[in-house]
Amino acid sequence: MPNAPAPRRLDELAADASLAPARRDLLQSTLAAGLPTGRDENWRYANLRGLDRQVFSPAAAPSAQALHQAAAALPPVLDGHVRVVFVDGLLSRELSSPDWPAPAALLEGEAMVRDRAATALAGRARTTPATPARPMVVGDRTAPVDLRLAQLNAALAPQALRIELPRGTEAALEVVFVATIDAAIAASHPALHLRLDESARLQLVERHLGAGDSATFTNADVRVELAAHSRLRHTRLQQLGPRSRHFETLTLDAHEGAECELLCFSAGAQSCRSTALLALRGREATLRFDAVALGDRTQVNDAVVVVDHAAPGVRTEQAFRGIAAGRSRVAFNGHMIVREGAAGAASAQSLKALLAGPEAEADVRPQLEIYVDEVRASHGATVGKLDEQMRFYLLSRGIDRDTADALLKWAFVEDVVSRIAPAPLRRQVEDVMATQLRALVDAEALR
Amino acid sequence: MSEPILSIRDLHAKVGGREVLQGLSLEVGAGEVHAIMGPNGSGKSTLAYVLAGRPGYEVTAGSVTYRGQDLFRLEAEERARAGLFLGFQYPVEIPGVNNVYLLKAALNAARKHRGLPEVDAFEFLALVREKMKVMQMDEAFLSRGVNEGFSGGEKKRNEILQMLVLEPTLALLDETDSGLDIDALKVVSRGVNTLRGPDRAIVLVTHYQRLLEHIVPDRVHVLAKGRIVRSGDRELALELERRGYDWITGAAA
Repeated sequence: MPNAPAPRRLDELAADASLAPARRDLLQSTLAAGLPTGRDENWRYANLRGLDRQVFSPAAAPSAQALHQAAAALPPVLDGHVRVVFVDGLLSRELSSPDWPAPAALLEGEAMVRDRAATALAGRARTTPATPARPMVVGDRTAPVDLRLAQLNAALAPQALRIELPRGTEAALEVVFVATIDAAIAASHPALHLRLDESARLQLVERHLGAGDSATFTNADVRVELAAHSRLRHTRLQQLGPRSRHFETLTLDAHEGAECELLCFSAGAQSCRSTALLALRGREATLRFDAVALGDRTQVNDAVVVVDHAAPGVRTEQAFRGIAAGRSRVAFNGHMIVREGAAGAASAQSLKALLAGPEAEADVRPQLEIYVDEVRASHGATVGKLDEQMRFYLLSRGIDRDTADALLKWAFVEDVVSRIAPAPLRRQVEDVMATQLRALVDAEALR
Repeated sequence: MSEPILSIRDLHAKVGGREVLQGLSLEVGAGEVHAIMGPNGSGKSTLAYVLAGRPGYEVTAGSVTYRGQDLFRLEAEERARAGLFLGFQYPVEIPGVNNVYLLKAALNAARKHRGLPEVDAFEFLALVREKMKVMQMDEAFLSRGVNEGFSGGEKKRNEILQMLVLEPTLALLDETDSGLDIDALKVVSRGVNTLRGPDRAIVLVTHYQRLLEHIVPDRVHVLAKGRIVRSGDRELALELERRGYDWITGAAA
């Protein structure tokens, strides 16, 4: 490959004099804090093996072959959505819709790095909870989530997509990040910044796809700011290839009366770690957060989600459905903080995992930290196996065992998956799910 | 003479380490309706589950021949495809699995077993609509999850609806009458009666004689302590209604 940069690890990049100073500073300060390890409470279920030896240098412009692979991996464009495609972290104009979304801008260069570094650090500082006067803690407590991986993205991402929806406007957008390059050569650093002005409305689909079967490494950073009374419906789909490794960080700030529906479907990658810090900072902001994680073979799928209720009357609902089949490991840590200032807040959490393999592992951990009296909070968390009575009922109707199991797994996540909109997107997800559940369930017949 | 559809010989079965069936023998011929009655704990439901192949029910001795083949060589799903149907006493709710999907998948599994192609979508819908009319069920039930949020009576109707769509050779109905009001009992009974025919057999497990006013059995058996202790015609059911079980089970002890 002509002029391909040499693959470099984090320590090599930090010592690289040719790296822009803003990038090097941020990298060095992040490394000084240390990379996450399994000893960190918030990272104990993640696959962090060899992170220090991982190639982090960003990919160069994709080859014609990579573009061709990426094009083949793209699903049909959703009706009414403008599509923006990144390949290995770099914008691909040829794969994107010709009508570039007006409120979008591509950020590049050192000024972008400084700007992103500043906001990432500010975000981190904000996450430290106030010292509680009278803590009421359900479940075990952990340190607040950290944003070290997001900082690595800010230090190394060559480009970031910024979308600023002006006041009162409306848009539908699909941002696709395709990973093609082998992790031994380079990494992808997808970066997306979203700001909805007052009363703006956005329907956003964010996809992370693999092309070909290469073992890719991605570290994504998505930041969302919702101004007063804006509305966001954000669907995130992680369908990377089976040999890939994926990290992602999402930070979201919702201001007064903002409404957010966030739905995450994660079925791909060999290992996937999703960190989310969702803060309701304005009075009566609402958040509905739904997540589905499907693990099979030796996949590791781990999520830590902190929902921060920081203003009066905010309301959140959270549902997680995870299936661990084969020898996979699926973990979800749902951390709810209700701060002193959040009088009248309401928070409901339902976390369920299904153990569908004798060597599979599933962990769901609800954590509630409540520092105010006037609050409605409910939470439930269960890890169970396939229901033997349900299975026998299906068998007694002549359904074969594999199909019966696939049906029951399907049923387990259906209440969340059925929320996916628009319908063509839901059908795409259901097709992925049918494949994942051993293709024995006819997705068409289930709808 | 044709071979019986079901032939049970000296069946012994254990549940949770306890021997519940202790030498049960029974023959059910084509075209016949048999009723199995008996006090609580006599083994009625165990018999139904053993025949349907429910896990946890261990056969320790005896044999069951179904249409000339050894029933215990078949897995539960193979028994179903071969035309054995169990109507559950407590049908399970399966939210997220569509009622009509299950019906169609079950019908196609049985058709595949018989070497038939999958049912045509329009024919299937017409068939289901016709059977739903018999069962006086609203079509809205089709799009719901299997038994999800159904009342006790609706669940029982749904069992009989499945039976009518699948047209089994042998139907085992485990206390299908329990929890039904008199109108629902009539509807369910009418559904069962439409299935009667020269090539099929029906075994009703019940506590009460009142079901047998609507579905008239050819034979009535009394099950006690895991064995059939008395058999007769429908007069036996009437006598049980008058005298209870003690006069028989006492004699059997």
